[in-house]
Amino acid sequence: MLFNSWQYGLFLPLVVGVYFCLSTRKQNWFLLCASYFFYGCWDWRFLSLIWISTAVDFLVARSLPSAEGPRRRLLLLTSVCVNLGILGFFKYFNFFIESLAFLIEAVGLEAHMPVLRIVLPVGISFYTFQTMAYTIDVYRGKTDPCPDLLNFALYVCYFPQLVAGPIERPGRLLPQIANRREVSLERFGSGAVLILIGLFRKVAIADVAARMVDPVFDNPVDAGAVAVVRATIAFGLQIYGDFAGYSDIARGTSRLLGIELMENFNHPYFATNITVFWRRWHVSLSSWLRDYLYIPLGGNRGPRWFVYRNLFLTMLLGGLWHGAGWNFVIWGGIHGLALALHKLWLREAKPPDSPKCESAADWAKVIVSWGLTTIIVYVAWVFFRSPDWATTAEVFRQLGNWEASGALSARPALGLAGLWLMMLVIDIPQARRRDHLAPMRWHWVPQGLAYAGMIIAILTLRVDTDVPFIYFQF
Amino acid sequence: MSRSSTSSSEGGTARRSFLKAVVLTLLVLVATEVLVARSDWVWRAPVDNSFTAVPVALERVTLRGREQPPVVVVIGSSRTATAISPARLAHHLGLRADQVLNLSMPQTSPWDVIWFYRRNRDHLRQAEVCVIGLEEWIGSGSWDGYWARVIAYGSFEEQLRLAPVDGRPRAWLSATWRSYAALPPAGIYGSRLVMSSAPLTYAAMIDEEGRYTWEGRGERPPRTEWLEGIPKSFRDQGDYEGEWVPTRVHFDQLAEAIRLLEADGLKVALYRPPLCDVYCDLLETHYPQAMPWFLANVEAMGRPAQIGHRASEWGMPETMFSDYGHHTPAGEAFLTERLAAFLQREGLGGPAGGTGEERDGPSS
Repeated sequence: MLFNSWQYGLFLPLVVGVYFCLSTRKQNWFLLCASYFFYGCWDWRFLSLIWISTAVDFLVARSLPSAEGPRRRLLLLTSVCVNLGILGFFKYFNFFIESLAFLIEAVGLEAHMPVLRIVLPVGISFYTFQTMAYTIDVYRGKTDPCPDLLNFALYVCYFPQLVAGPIERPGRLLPQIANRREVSLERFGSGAVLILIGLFRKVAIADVAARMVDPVFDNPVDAGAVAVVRATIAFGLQIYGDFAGYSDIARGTSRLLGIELMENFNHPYFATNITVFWRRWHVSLSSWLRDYLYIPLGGNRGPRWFVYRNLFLTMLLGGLWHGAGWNFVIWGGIHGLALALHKLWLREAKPPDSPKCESAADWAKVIVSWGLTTIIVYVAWVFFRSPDWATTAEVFRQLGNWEASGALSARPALGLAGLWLMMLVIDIPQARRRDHLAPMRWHWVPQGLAYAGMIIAILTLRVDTDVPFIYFQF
Repeated sequence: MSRSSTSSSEGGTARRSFLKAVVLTLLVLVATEVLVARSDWVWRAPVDNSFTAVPVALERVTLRGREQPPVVVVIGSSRTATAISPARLAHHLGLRADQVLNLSMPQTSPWDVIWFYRRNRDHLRQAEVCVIGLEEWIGSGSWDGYWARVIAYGSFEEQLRLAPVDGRPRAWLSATWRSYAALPPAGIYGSRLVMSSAPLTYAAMIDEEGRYTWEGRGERPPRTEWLEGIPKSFRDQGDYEGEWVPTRVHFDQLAEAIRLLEADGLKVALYRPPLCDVYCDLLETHYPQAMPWFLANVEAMGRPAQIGHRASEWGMPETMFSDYGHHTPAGEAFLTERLAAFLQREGLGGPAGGTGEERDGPSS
C-alpha cells in the first residue's frame, strides 16, 4: 500500500476515524493491527521477520539491566546478530556470494556458488536499524527497557515510518507511544499540510522528473552530454522529492495520530559544504550512523588519520546500507572521501549550518563552496542511479559526446527548470523560516492559493499508475 | 498583556487564518471542477496516442466537412485500423475512395461504436454498411482506452455502470470528481506544449487515408520484443474463468450498438482480423475457453461475420505483421481484399468491385 495510492487514501481516514474513538491502550492495539495490515498488504509472510525482531529485542532489552559482564555483551551480540543476520540474509546474501565468485574467478579458479531467489522484504533496512538502536541504547543505559510488549511491538512496526523511516530513536518514540496523545486542530491541520506538501513533492515533482531520468539511464548509448547532465540533475530532484516527500507524508500521517516523528530532510541542496549536506540529508540515517557506527569506531577521537578512516568507513557502510551493490558502496565511498577531505581542510573548526554573507567576498566563497558541494553530490548520484557498471561507464563516456542530435534543445531544460522552481517555491520559505510548516504562517490568501495550487498540480501531473517510492527498495 | 495570552491570541489568529485558507482552497477546487474538469475541451487536446483525442481527430479531419456521405464505415480497434485500407476497400468494392471510411480507434470496444455514432449521427446515418471490428478483449489491454473514453464522453450513468470490475473505486472517483480524471490529460497537453518542438495538430494524428496513425505503423521491431509482451499482457488480465465478465459487458454493448445502427437503416457486419499463430497458441494455453466462448457470442449476434484467428489458416506469413496483432502494408492489402470479397458475397457495400475472389475465412 503506497502513500500515493487510492488504497492509502481510504486506509488513512478509516484508521484516523476509528483511532480517535478509542482509549490510549486500545488506540495502541488498533495501531498495531493497522500497522501489521499495512505491512501485510505487501507480503504478509514477512510479518514473521518483524515478529522475530520484535520478540528478540524485547526479551534481550528486558534481560540487560539484570545482566552483568560478558552476559551483557552476549545479550547485545544476540540482538545485533539476529537483526543483522536477517538483514544480511535477505538483502546481502546474493551480493556477497556473487562478489566472492567474482574474486575466485579473478584469480583463475572456478566458482560454483549458490544464488538464491530471495525477495527483499520491504522496509527491512529501516526497522532492523530502529530495533538495534533500542537494544544498544538500553545496553548503554540511555533508555530504560520497555516493560510493555504492545508498546514495543508498535515502536517496531508503527506504519507511518515502517517501510522507509524516519528511523526513530527509542527515547523519542517510545514515550509518545506509551503516553496519552494530545490532538488539536492546529496539529491536525499541520499534519494534513505536511501530507499535502509530501504528495506534491512526490507526485508533481519527483515522478515527473523521473520521466527525464529513466530514458537516459535505461539506455545512455548516444544520449549525449547534455541529456546525461540533464538526467543527472533531474535525478537529484527526483530522489529528493521522492524521499523528502515520503518523509513529509510519514510525519504528517503521524501528526494526525498525535505522534511526532523527526525531521528527515532539511533542505540539503542549500548546503554549502558536504558536512552540512549530511546534517540535512536523510537525517535519521546519518545520525544513526554517527551514533551507532562512527562513534563506536572511534569518532573524532584518536589520531587525525583515524578520524578520516572512521568517516570513510562509516559512509562506505552507509552506502552499502542503501543497496546490495558496488555502485552504492562507491556512492558511499565518494561521500566518505569528500567528508574526510572537508574535515582535513577545516582542521578543528566546525562548519556553521548557514554561513554569514556580509561582503561580496563572503558571497563568492559561499557560491564556490556550494558549487563544489553540488558537483560532488551530483557526480555521486550517477553511481547511485545507474543499475550496473556498464551504465555508469556509459553515462560518464557520454559526457564527452556533444554531437548527439537535439541535445541542445532548450525545451527539456525549460521543463526541468520549471520542476526546480516548483520545489524552490516550497523549500525557500521553509528554509528561511527554518520551519517545514512555513506555508501555514502565510496570510490566508496566498496560503489557500498555495494549497489549491498543490492539489491541482498533483492531479494534473500525476501518472496513471502509482509510482513506488525509491527508498522502498532499500 | 501576558505572554500566555499573547500566544493564545496568536494561536487564534493562525487558526482563523488556516480555516480561511482551507475555505479558499475548496473554492478554488470547486471552480476548477466546474470551469475546467466538467468542460469538454480538456479531453480533446491533440496529444499523440491520446485515447480521447483520436476520435476527435477522426471527427474533424476524416468525417466532418465531407461533401458526400460515406457508404461503408469501419469502426474497430488498432488491429482493424492496420488491417483495412479504406482506399483499397473502396477500390475493391467499386466505390470512390472517399465513400469508405476506417474510423478505428486505439483500444476500441463496442461501446465506442455507440457513443461515436450517437455523437456523429448526422454524418454516419446515411452510410449503408458499418463493419464493427471485434477483439477477444483478453490480454489486449483494451481497458485503458475504453475507460478513458467512457469517462470523457459517456453519460454519468454510463460512467458508473461501465466501470471496469477491477478498478471501480478509482473509476467512480473519476465519475464523481471529474478533476481527478480530467486534469491529467490537460497536464500532458501542457507538458507537450512546453517540451515538444513539433506542433500539436489533429491532422498529424491522421494518415493520408483518413485513419488514425497507429504508432507502430511502418516499423517491424525484432520478433523477440513483441513476443515478450504477449504473456505479460495475459498475466496482467488475471485468470480467465469461462465467462469472463468484461467480455460479456462488451457483447452486451455490441448488441446495443447493432440495435442503434440498424434502427437507422445501416447494415452491420462483424469483423476480426487474424492474428499471429504464436499469439493464438498463448491465448489457447492461458484461456482455453476464450475463443469458443467468443465465437459462440459472435454467432449469437446473428449478423454477417468474418472472424479470423490463426494467420497460418489464412495463408498469412508472419512478415505480414508488425507485431502479433497489427499488420504491415502487405498484410493490410491481403486483409482488405478478403474483407471486400466477404462484403460482396454478403451483398454489402454498394456495386461489385470485382476482386475476383469470393472467399471468406481460411484459405485452406
